[in-house]
Amino acid sequence: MSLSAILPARLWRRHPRVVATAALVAGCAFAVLLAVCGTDSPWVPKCLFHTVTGLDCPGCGSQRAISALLNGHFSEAWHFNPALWIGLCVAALYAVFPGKSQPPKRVERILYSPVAFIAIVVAIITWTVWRNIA
Amino acid sequence: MKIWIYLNGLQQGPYTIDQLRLLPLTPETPVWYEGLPEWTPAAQAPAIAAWFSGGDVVAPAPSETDATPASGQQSVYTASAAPSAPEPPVVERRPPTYMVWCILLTVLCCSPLALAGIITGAISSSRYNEGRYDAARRLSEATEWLLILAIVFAIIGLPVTLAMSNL
Repeated sequence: MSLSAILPARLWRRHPRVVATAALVAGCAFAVLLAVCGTDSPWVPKCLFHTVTGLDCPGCGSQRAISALLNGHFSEAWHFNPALWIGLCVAALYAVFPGKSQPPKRVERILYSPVAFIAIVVAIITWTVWRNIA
Repeated sequence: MKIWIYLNGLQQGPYTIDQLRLLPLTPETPVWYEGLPEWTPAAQAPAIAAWFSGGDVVAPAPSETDATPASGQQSVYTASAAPSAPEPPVVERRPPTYMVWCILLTVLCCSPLALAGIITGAISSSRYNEGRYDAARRLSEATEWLLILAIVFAIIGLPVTLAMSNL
């Protein structure tokens, strides 16, 4: 418990909006870099997992996908990494329903049920395996 | 029947009808139980409304044995309840599962730590659903730490990947 008293956790907890805004601003700046320079720019990082193992991780292709989307290539954006767009939708669902209402709403009962979590983990693992053998 | 109430700025419950009789309910106290569409003033909730229409309002009864009247709900409780009455449970709020951050990190950064975070967050949520609030809170903190580690590793890894791809 005392570990939580050190700086990063406190910053995160006390100013969740500031941290979220900073992350959003950094993300937008990075997206602009991707859109303008493309993913071949020396300033755009490569996936460490892919560099080391040669395998695709569940997030591989996300940079190319964002770059493609921002340049208007919607079909390419989807095919570079469909998991990115599905993941964003799921994350948005959890952001809209933090599961704090009492009594819980029906959507929250589904979102925070073991079945939903197992489905997410299984989906990520299946996607990673599938994209590497297909 | 399980009944939730909103009292002293806190959502509390579930209570049984009998436990509820011991609490300082007013006609305006918001209550909810399965069957009500939403929070309803006690006087308009069919199961409880009868208490108020009969003039039988459960008012905070002053007690001569109560030395600390300042602690509103507790004093009423001890004053009117039998000493052996069990303490009614209080529902805590769900500790954060950090699911949004975990999923974002998984699809954007690929960190196995974020995947682990989804799993601990999921177990935390299940513990919460079972009413094991302590375990839920500890697992929520574990999730938080996994996320912090994932972000720290990503920040450390950034210059490493840039160097590896450029040199």
